[in-house]
Amino acid sequence: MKGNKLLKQTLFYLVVAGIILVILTPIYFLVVISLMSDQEAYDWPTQMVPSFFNHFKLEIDGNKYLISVYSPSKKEYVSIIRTDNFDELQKFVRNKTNSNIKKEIFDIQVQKLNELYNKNKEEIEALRSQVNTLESKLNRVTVSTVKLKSQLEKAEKAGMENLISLIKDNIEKYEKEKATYEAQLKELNKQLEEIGSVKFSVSKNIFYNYVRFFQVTSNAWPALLRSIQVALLTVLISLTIGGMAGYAFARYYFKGKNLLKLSVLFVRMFPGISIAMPMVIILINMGFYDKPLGLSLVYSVGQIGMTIWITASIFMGISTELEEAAMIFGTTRLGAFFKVTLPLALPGLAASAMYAFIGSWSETAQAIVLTQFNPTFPVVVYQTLVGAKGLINLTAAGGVSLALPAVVFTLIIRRYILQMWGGVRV
Amino acid sequence: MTKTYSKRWIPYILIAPTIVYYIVFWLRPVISAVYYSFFDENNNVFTLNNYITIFKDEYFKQAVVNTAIFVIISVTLEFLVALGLALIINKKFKGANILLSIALIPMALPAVAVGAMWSSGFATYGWVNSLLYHLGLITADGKIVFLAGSDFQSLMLIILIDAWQVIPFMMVILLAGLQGLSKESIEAGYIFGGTKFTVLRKITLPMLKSSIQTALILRIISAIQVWLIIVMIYGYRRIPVLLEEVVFYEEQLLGFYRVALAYSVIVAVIVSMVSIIYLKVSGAFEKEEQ
Repeated sequence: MKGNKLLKQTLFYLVVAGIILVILTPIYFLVVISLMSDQEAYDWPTQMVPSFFNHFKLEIDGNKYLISVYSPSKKEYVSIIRTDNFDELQKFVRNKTNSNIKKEIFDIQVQKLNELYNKNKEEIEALRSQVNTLESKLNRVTVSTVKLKSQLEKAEKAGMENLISLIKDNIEKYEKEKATYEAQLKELNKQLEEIGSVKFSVSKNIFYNYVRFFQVTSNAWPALLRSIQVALLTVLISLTIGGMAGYAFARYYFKGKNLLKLSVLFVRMFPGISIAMPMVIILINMGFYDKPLGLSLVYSVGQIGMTIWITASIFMGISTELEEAAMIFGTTRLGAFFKVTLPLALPGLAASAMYAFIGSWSETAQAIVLTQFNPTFPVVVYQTLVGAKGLINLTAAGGVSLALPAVVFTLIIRRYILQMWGGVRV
Repeated sequence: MTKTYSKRWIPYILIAPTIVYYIVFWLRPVISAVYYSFFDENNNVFTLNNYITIFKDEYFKQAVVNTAIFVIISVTLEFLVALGLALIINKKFKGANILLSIALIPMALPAVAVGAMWSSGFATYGWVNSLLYHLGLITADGKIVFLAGSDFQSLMLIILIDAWQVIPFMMVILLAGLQGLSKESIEAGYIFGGTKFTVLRKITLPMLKSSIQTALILRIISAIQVWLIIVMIYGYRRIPVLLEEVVFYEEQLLGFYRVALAYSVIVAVIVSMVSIIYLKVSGAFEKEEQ
């Protein structure tokens, strides 16, 4: 019996752990990718943790420098750029790996490399020529294999049995040859690496994507400020208008109460994006198109209904007896509201304000239609996501910056979210 | 006398701003959308061409079917999982609060962030395949091509992605309802010999009815209007759904503004019909009148 209970409990916690994993894994990867350099983000398989250092390998190739970075996914060095210009190399490496190689460090490494190169010059040259011949051999074999394979296809179509087996034998022979060449090449490269290259590590600027997102997307900063502006205006409009109605809901009976209560549903039945389309013309006539106020006027339509539901449940939680007591002591009804009810409702109203803020902050669909030259922050992130030049790690950085305030606010008002919905009855 | 007279007016004064606001910023655009959807874009003559264009569009039928499949499967799936999750959190075990906090995160994430998350995940070289590889479930050559599945598979993928974000929202409504239930009646159910399942079915769920209705109606309304996540993962017209077609006509084509309006009207009619049928069947209207 006791064992049974233990088993049940373990099973229960396993399910809970599973749920948490399903929720957190995608979020974790979004954050990890937002911390990855271009080189890491486009490597496969994506690593489970972003790297904090980049390991570089520097070689002299002809009279130019060849710099490579270690890829944990491929478990080998991947060449980045071959150049003799330090500034070009620095810029390119920074964009690709998010590491800034300082001039002093580079000079020291170059000096080391030169010493090494002068010491082992002959060996290196010999190895290089061996590598070159091997590479050309390998190329030839690859080309022949491809040719044979297309011949094989033709032969199979024609059904020439003896030819097929002959070609297959040849392919097998070439493939064996290829494998040995590859093994030799690997061995040679390893030797070359030992005597002809220097390796060094440079720390990675882990938040470089965030900096770059705001640099590259020229309108990201103004868009961020605009989003805050829109959200604050939405809170102001929906909380004053919706809060009044919410109080009426909590305290009075009036005709059409049920209808107004369902208005939050009716308002949602006409798609938000479809409201936005005619609103473009209405806002142009009012002079608010493509301005924060115009957007917040549209957002408030959806938020007011929600605010009514939420504030009604908050005011219902504050007993009328307190108001009545204040009135007995000589305050007016309005005075009682401001002196007694409002202070008590304040935390709940703050939560409702945050709820409206999050809703407006995250809204993307209507903003796509309602903005032209002055997009909000979600629209900027959307454009980098669907745009052709959008890099996934940059988009992830934008997405995380967008999501962070919303998540923090939601967790702050967690307690109230449940209370808010507790009073809601359709 | 004057006091009661003024009192009677107070609620109407309090709700007046809301009603004015709805008329100016909701009713007016709705009416102009409906009005213009019946007029030709070039010469402003009454016409049904905008609607005819839609009904002739080969994507329309597909959009209706896809939306219907999406709504039925996603609402059912999300409701069941959300109910289960709410029941688990309501058990008030150690760590229930942590689970609630974590479960709220997807609800808080902006749609764009969710789009970035999953489009980077389900790309063939994305993190989902990487994770499967790290776990040893696939080989380097066995990468699953998530986004190239059949139309039905793609729709299922979208349903899963959408469910990931929407379940917490439904769960919150249900959990709020559960926490408001009186403990006595549930305990009484156990005392009279009910098993866990019968107590859930005969006592908890009926008492939870209004929360369930709220969660379902809000979800049905928003499920019919799904589009952004689909466009972010698949682009336009890969899996046509109703609202995605509206945006396609509005944003991607020139000179189809009024067709887009007509499309919106069709979507609004569908949403209203479904919601009113739902509210009627579930009895939400009758309860209000009591």
